[in-house]
Amino acid sequence: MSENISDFVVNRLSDWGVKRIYGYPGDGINPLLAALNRSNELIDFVQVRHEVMASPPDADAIMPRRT
Amino acid sequence: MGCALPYAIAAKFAFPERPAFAFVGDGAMQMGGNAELLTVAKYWKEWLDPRLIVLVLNNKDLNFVTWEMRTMEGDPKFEASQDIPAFSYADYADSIGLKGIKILTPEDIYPALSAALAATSPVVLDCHVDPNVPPLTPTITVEQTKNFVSAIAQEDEDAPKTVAGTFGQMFRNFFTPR
Repeated sequence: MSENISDFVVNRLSDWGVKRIYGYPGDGINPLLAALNRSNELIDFVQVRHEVMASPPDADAIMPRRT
Repeated sequence: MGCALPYAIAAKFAFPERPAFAFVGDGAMQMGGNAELLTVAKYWKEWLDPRLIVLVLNNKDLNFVTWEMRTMEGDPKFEASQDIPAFSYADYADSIGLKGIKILTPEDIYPALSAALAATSPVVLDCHVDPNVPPLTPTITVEQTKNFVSAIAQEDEDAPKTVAGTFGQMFRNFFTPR
């Protein structure tokens, strides 16, 4: 099966170093969720309780990592 | 409003080997935090260090805005918009497999924090606090003082308690050694 856009997006996010995605399913992002499922845990999906609560975890991305 | 718990959850995913703390108002817990504790319940066993400590400031009042209205606008508390329902955050935490601890008196604080830091699961500290103590900033402008007096002059049944709380707070600020 040829790669579709959602697979491309997931692969590109992974290439950019994204390790986790916080979210809640809905029709607008279903193809992306399916691509995440196909990617064999390339990126973890954290299921929050409300989509509004998926935005503050940007902290996960910007918190300084100890080397 | 309401971002502390989601941030703390994100911190636990970013650094699962370290404890995380969230200081949350009861209004924020009722807005989204209570639901998000279920997310904690779903994932905490994956974290190397299970400690996520949520301190809920429980005063049954959307207190920050109540005081904002008093000091910025000079308006009295509007109970219809400001009072929120009582809820046991500690009992709720227990019911979903987390640990709930009630803090009802100042003497409860130290043992509660010690227990939270020694816990083997995430903890919700249900801390009952006084809504009539103003969140005084180090400097208060003349305008804010005028507004405060105007609000209190129009105030409801909370007015005597609010005035007592203000003086108590000023007294402690003045006499507490730093």
